[in-house]
Amino acid sequence: MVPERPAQAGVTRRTSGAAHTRDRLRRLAGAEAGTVGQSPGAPCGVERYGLDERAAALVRLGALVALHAAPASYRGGVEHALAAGASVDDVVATLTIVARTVGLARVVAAAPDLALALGYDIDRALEALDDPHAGRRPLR
Amino acid sequence: MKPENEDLLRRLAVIDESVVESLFGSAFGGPEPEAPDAKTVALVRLAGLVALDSGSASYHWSVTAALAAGASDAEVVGVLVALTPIVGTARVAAAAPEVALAIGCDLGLPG
Repeated sequence: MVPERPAQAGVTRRTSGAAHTRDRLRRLAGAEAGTVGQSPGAPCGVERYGLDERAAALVRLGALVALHAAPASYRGGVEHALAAGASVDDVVATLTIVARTVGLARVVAAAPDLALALGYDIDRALEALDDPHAGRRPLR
Repeated sequence: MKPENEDLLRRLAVIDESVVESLFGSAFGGPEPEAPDAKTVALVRLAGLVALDSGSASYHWSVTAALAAGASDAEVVGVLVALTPIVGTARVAAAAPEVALAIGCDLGLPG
């Protein structure tokens, strides 16, 4: 079941860092003049806003799956995630993590592109199932 | 409408975990066997919702799960910051008030 809401609008639940959080969210929401959707420091300053580079890279991969991104985007996203310290397991897990929220159709569509970005050609692998003599490129 | 249909629609609208489990089964409903830590899992799920321009109930469900998994308010906000180059400012601006509401922060925006 969905848990109880932690608080209603108008109630600041925490005091420590709450002002900074509120300021950042107001800027992201465009509440300040000339700052519509502005994320100060992004994309280089992610660590200043609470996420380490590995988590930020995996978060971006999850969004790419949800957006049905192009293969080039997966290549860049996967390279960034691996460079930031994510494992191949972490990268593959982004598919199952977002499956419940974005739906299986998006995940199924994303799987071949994400796999290719990891060096695994699903089409070639499927052909190899039909032709045992065809090569199979292993995961990095 | 049949009561069971009303019940199902109501449960779907609030992301009742038992319904999610029944729809997705153990493959996608349970713990991720080779996944990152629970906090990162929750933050990646939130990212998917932002990318989809999701509804209030989904944001509340996801942010609550992230906080329960040990994420700080700053890390939740960090998801929006990290996603801005990917999903664009319009989606992030739409998501920010919903995320704020879910963490109990009043942005003081005009209604």
